[in-house]
Amino acid sequence: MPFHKKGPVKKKTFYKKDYLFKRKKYCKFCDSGIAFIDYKDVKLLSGYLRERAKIVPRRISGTCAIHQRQLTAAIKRARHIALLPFTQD
Amino acid sequence: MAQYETTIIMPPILGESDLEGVVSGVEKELGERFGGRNIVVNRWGKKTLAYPIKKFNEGYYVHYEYESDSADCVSGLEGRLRINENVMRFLTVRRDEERKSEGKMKARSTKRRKHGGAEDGDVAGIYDEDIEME
Repeated sequence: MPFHKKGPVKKKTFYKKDYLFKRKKYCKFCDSGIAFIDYKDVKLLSGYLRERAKIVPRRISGTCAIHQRQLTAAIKRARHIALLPFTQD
Repeated sequence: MAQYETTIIMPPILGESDLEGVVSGVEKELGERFGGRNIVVNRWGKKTLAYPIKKFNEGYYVHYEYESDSADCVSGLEGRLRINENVMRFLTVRRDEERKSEGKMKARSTKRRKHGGAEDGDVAGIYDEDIEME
């Protein structure tokens, strides 16, 4: 025991569940029953772009792997025909 | 029998007649020379580009849907579009394969719908947020 401390030091441990209530993420495409993500649907796709027009990773958006793959392909197609930007400053 | 769709972008400086010339010219070539069938032409009109192409900030979009038996149709059309000076950009997508998987995905979606515990308010660890695939 350190000489300057009196008595045993009890460290308070914080668990995540003590203060963090996290809403479970889910795939919005599965939920709304979208079977195919169209590259022409700019409104939908732009919701999955970050500020600098990067694609939102699925660990953030909660999109399932199958839909994320479709989404990525759709965004890349939309970028090619200048419906969506490659980058934004 | 495969379904395709092609989108082309034309410069905004084209006059009405030039524009129509390109649109109908592509349609005609597609139908007569390359054997495209059931051609549907959608004019999206003048749209603002997300980034400048050839220093233009706007472009005329035209979207073609068609069917064809052979892929030569697409390669032939794309070859022609590449030569065409009035076409700034084009994109061809095969649509039928995607439609095929649509049914499968629909079934999967209905199974998984509303699995989310948004109302449960259960404590999810910060790392177990990924939904595992079967």
